[in-house]
Amino acid sequence: MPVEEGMRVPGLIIATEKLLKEIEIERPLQQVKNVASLKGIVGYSIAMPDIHWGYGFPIGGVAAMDPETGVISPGGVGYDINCGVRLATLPLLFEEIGEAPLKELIQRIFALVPSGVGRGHKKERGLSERDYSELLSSGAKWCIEHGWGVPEDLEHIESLGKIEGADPDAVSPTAKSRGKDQLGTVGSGNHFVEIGAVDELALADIAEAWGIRKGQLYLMIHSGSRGLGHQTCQDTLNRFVKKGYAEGLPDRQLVAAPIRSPDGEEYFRAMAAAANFAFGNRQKILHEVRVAVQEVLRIPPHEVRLLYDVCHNIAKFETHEFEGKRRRLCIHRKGATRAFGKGHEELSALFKKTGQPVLVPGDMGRASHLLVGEGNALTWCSSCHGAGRARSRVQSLKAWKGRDIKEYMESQGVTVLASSYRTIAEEMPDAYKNVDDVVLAVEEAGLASRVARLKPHFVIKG
Amino acid sequence: MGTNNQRNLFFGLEACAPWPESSLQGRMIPEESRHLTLAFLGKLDPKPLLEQLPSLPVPEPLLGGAGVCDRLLFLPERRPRVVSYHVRWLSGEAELLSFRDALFRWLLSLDYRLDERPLLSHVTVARAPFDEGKWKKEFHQLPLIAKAVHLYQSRGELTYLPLWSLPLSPAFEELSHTGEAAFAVRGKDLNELYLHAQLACSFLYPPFLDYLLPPLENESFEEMIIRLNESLSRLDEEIGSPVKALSFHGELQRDEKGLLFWEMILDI
Repeated sequence: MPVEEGMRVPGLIIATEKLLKEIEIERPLQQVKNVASLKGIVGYSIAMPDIHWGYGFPIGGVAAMDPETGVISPGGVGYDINCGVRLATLPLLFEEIGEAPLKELIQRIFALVPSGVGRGHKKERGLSERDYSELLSSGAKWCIEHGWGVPEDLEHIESLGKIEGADPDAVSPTAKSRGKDQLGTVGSGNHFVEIGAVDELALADIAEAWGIRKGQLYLMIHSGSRGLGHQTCQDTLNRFVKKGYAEGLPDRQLVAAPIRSPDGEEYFRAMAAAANFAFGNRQKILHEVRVAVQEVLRIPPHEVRLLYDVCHNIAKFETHEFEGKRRRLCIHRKGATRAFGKGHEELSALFKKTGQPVLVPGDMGRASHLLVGEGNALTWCSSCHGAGRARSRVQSLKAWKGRDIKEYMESQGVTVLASSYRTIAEEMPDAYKNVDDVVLAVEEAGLASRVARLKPHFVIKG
Repeated sequence: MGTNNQRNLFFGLEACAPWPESSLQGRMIPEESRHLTLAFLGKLDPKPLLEQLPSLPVPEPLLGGAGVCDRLLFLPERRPRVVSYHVRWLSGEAELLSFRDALFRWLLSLDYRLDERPLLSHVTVARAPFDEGKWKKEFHQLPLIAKAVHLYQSRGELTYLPLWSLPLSPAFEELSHTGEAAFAVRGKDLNELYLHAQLACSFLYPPFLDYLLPPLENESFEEMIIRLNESLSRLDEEIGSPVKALSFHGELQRDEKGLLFWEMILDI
């Protein structure tokens, strides 16, 4: 997309013709153009193949900012700071265990892990001020120190489960109040816990290096920073708008402060703290899943191996090559996933040899995908984050109204548990683009390569 | 004129609400047929009326009202045959009554016979048989908007066919937003837009009706968004909400009828 009036850089949309024809593209493209107007943007205003209409940034948007001259935008991270995905494997094949025990397992997870609107932990005490201070500073590590995981998990989490520079005091009391009962909860909307089987392998050598076998059972968790993250984003948006940072912007939701300003730095510290809460959240959820697996399947917790955990709503300082120079940049990924290739200095030993895992949940009926990052410099080592919706929630609700959706999903080989009918109806498979098409576009563009196709069988929807 | 041209006719408002899925007893009126009767005409040949309708005076703009279904009515009171939701209008009531008065004057000038009792705003949702106790137990308040005025023909079997329509500018209408949820919200002024934005949120999550805010004083559009978000935060903290936040997206504009218009995007 060439530079037009108001744009500082060109736009770059990664997509196949087929994907572009399937979606309403005008509004997301306008958002790509709007992002290109932000001060200090470097390279392109980028959109991933799962691009769709967001607010401020398109969903599937990536933008890199020069830390000295550029801005940091809460809208470029999203309300659900560090919404992300986690994939773990069990040392069993689906066919070895069969459906009945797995149905019991998903029921047990449903009981242990609160999901749905307003579902926090009612019986446990909420987080204390000290808990918050440590959790928001340390992320997943704090959970592991409290017995919710194993130390080996950390090397299998993006940024070792902690964004540096977090400041718990930058998070408002209201945000902490919203989040205090929510550590270890899934939330609502499109969040989920899923059990399935590895359906196909594409890169057998990488799959083997990662301990992935065809037919193997996997667990996938999709959740984020819950009310704490939402409030943190809202607090910052309010503050930035009141201070006039939105003036002159094509969309107020893009409001952004200079990275090197007290406001910009405070937002980053608060965002990092909320991101650490999200890492902790997914860590605790996995812990509860491991407890359920031990109770129902008699498999020790450490044998439920975390493969990887990725963020898909975040702003991070990373070093990238640009115009022949290595530069420290602030990368905004809103509905996009980091995809470092092999050899990247930030990766742990295993993933340095292969490239990092990239987790792409599709929909609850068809498939999810596991890919390996290719470290594509054009997109600041970024890839898609999901299939992207093809229908709005209301359209999906109308299309399925009055129909027995659980029965339909059973007929497709998927057992769905949720606290409300509406949740399932909004999340039916045909509400999403075909994730196979999205990952094909990602692969063809050289952002990440397919390692395995995953088939969900049991899903808890938020 | 043969009697086979006679139809049961009435004017009504098309009523739109997030009607709950219900397994309650009763012959349910399909959602798309739910309406609020404005003027009952009885059995008539529709043809002359349809020919006369272009002369009906219609005020512009005609913003569809918005309100709350705040209690159940079992009507008629002595031997109930229908279950209805009573509508308490929060906006547009004066305009609605004014339009009804104009409609009545017009119909009477054409020698149509009408029931001139005051309007009882209600939407019938089911016919007998039903269990009043169970209905009362399951009742929750709902937001409601009016989308159009229709000349309806009652076809029996709980269905009603619009023969003529006057579209209203709805207080809000849902937009197809693939990422989150979005509404086109309208109002005569900022306070009305603010009310309609809240009712739109309650369309997604009716418990939000317990968190409706008092009118704005002199707040700006941006301050309005901040206030709405404070209410959403409180709702989420106290009981949980699928609607997490309301974005700053969209400018306040005037539509072609001079009404304030805002494209509101919510984070789910």
